[in-house]
Amino acid sequence: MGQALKRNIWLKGLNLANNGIGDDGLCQLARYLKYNQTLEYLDLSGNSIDDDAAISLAELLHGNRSLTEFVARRAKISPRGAAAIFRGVRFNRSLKRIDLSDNQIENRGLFSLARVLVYNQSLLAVEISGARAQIAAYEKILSTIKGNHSLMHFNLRTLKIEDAGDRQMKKEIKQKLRANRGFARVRRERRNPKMKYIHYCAMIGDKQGVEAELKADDSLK
Amino acid sequence: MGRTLASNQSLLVLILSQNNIGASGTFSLADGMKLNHSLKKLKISGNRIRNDGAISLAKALRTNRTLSALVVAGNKITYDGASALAGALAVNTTLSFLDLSANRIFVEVTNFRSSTAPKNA
Repeated sequence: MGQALKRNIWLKGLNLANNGIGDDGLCQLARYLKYNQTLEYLDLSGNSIDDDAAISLAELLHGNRSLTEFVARRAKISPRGAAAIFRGVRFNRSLKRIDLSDNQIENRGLFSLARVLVYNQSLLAVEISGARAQIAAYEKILSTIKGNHSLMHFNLRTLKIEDAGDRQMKKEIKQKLRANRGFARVRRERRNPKMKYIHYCAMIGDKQGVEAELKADDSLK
Repeated sequence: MGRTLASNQSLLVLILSQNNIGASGTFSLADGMKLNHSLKKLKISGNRIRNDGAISLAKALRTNRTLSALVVAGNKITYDGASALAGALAVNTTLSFLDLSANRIFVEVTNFRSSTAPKNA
C-alpha cells in the first residue's frame, strides 16, 4: 500500500482504523506518505501507535502539505508519542483537525500542544477528550488558546485532573475554556443556527466553510 | 445484481452493508462494475467478501473510471486482499476515498509492493 500511495495522486481519504497495524507498518506508511501530495484524510484509530511510529508520523505531519485531517483515537499513543506528534504539527499549515481522543496524553503531551497553539494558526479543531493531566498543563493551554485566533473547537469532554480530583476545579477549568474569546462567541451564540453550522464546520475541519459563512454574515465578526 | 449494474448507467450510490455477501457475490458485483460508467460510491461494509472478493474488486477498479468512494470496512480482508486493492490504486485515477477499517491487515500492511498484485485486469 505504501508504494502504491507513493505513486497514486488521486486518493484523498484513507481509513485504516482497527486493523492491528503495528510499529513497522505505520513507520513505512508514514515514510511513503511523505511523498504523497494529495491525501487529505488519514484515519489510524485503533491501531497501536507506539513511540517510534509516533515519531515517524510526526515527521510526516511536519513535511506534508496536503493532509487536513488526522485521526488517531484509542491508538495507545504514549505521552512521549503525543508530544512528538504535536511537535510535528507545530509548523504544519494544512492540518485543520487533529483527533487524539482516548490516548495517554499526559502533562507532556498537553505542554507540547500548548506550544503548538502558540505557532500554529491553521488548526481549527483539536480533540483530546479522555486526556489525563495536572492543572498546570490545562492552565498553560488555556493561556495559549487566548492568543490563538484560528481555533474554533476544542474538545476536552472527559478531562481528568490528577492532582485535584474535586469537581470544583474541573468546573473552573471548563468555565475558563468557555470564556476564551476564540470560540466563546461560537458557544454563546450556539442557538443561532448559522453559528451552529459554523461550529460544525470547524468541528469537521472545514476551514473554507467557516470562512464562507463568516464572510456571508459580517455581523458575526 | 452484477448484470443489473452493468446495464444500469444512472445509479450513483449503492449501499449493500451488512448483507452477508460472500466472495462469489462480490465477483458478479465486480463484473458489473467493470461495465458500469455511473456508480460513484459503493459501500459493502460488514459483509464477508474476504480476500477473494477484495481481489475481484481490485480487478474491477483497474478498469473502472467513475468510482470515487469505496467502503469495504469490516470484511475480514487480510494482507493479500489489501495488497491487491493497493495495486489497483496505483493504476486507478478516480478513487478518492478508500475505507479499509476493521479488517485484518495487521503489520504487513505497508510491506507489500504493488508488484504482488495481479497485473492486467
